[in-house]
Amino acid sequence: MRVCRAKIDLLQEVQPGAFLLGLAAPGISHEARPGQFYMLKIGEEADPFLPRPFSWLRRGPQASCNGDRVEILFQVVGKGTARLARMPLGEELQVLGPLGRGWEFDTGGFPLLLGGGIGAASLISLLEELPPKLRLDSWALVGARSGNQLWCGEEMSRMGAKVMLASQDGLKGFHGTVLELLKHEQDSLLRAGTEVFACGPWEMLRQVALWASSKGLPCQISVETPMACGVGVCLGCAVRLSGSRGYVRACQEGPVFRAEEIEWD
Amino acid sequence: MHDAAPDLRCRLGGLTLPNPVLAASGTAGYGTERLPGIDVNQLGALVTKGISLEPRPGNPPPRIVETACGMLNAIGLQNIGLKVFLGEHLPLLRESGLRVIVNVFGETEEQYARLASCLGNEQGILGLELNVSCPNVKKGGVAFGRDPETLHHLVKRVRAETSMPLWVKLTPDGVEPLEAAQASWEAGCDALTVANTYLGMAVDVEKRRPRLSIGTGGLSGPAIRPLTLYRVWKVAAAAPVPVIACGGVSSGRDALEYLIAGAKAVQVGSGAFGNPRLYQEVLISLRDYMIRHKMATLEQLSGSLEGMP
Repeated sequence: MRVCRAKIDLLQEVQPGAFLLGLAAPGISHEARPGQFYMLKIGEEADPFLPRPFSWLRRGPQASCNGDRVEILFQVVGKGTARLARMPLGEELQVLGPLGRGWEFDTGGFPLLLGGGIGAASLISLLEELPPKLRLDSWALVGARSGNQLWCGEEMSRMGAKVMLASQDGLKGFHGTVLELLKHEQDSLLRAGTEVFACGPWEMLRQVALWASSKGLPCQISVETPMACGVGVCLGCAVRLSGSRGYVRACQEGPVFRAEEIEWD
Repeated sequence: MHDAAPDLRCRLGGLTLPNPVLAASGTAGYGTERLPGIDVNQLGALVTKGISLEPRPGNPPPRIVETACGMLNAIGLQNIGLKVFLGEHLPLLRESGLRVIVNVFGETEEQYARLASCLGNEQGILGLELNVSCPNVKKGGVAFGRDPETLHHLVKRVRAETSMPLWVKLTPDGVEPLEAAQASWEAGCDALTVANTYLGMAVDVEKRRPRLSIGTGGLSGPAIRPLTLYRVWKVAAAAPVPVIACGGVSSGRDALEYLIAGAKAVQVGSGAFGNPRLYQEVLISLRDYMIRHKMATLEQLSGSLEGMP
């Protein structure tokens, strides 16, 4: 974890309202593990006040800063991200990270990646860090509201994973949600040793957790919560543990959890 | 001429701290967490997250919402409880040498008294800050801070339990600043922290529901600074004990406003979430300002406001 000022060396709209952001700074990517996140302070002013958490999706490979950079995918949802989308190349941002507990994987299982909306970005870092053979052997199901919002899925396909797309407007891939696609295709997807990794909206994660539990599959999920400090001291990003065991912090004990750790109701 | 480093030592009642920049309760953990980009020993002191006798789970999520120039929180005083603090954290704090003020919270006067008697003789703690101003709990908290008579009784009771420096963190909600302050100093506190968060709320207009799980929360950040500055000035002008400003410090200039208005020290809180180097930046700003204005000691800066009609 470090605090640094990172230079924006890439800002490109890759699908409607979603931008790929490149941040270059010495040491920024060295400790990054798949599924971890960075807190970005957008501008120097008091509004927006809080930094924003973003998963990283890959490091390098641009020449700037000797390739010491990370890329982040973000969706414009409020004034902070709207402002970030308008920032000029070369502008510096205060960056804190990498933070949190990321994806855990061993080479014994077959990854089944389930991504909903912009959340799928976190799975790209996982895919990138998998051994090449396992990456080619991975299934990735990626869904979005519209068929023109499936950049993450296309990126995973380019990286070698076996990808199925789902769009709720039916423009591309399966007509429906990623969960409906999963249930539709489950017989062909499941193998001995399948391990589920999911990132997306809370309701999707809840459904995935239930489904994985019913199939007896190990399942990790990455949650999105509002955060203020990102380093475990404000306790704002609480996630409720199953079995009345209180709360944990998404920024420290997460954002990746074993699905059975979480209280879903 | 005082071009050399000015004396930033800060005298707060019986305490002398190396500088007046403190970390506010609830924003810097228990002092044992790793805070990024900062050597916590550079702080004048760190005020811990509020400790209660028993562990508290806190409120359900969502607990925080960003607002214009600030944030609302409804954490609900989640904490590890006295036993774990004493057993696991205090030994580490003693080893670290960090200057620590322990913020304490109870639901009853008896609980405050027990916390004070248990913590009041421990090595490694410089003082206690009584939280009588949390707006996010059902029992205790702000209920003590809003009624000067109740507050007076509480502070007097806690005072009887410990000779350790005792600060009272006042609420800005529902009480005249001087009434609660006077009730506290007459009961024997050593310093006043002015103030805590302001009760507020935010609504999700699509769902037509509150955006915080418990409906309301405490507002912090630059949005509250002018409000708290007024209270700091008002209390500092009358109080026989030092005032520690707490509310919306995001820069050295903000801290200077508080000190000029009469505060002896400033607590930095949620401003550090967006800028982990804020503590050091405030300290550097103070030092530069004092050199520029040829001030040798903090006493020359504190309460130097002129021209107030």
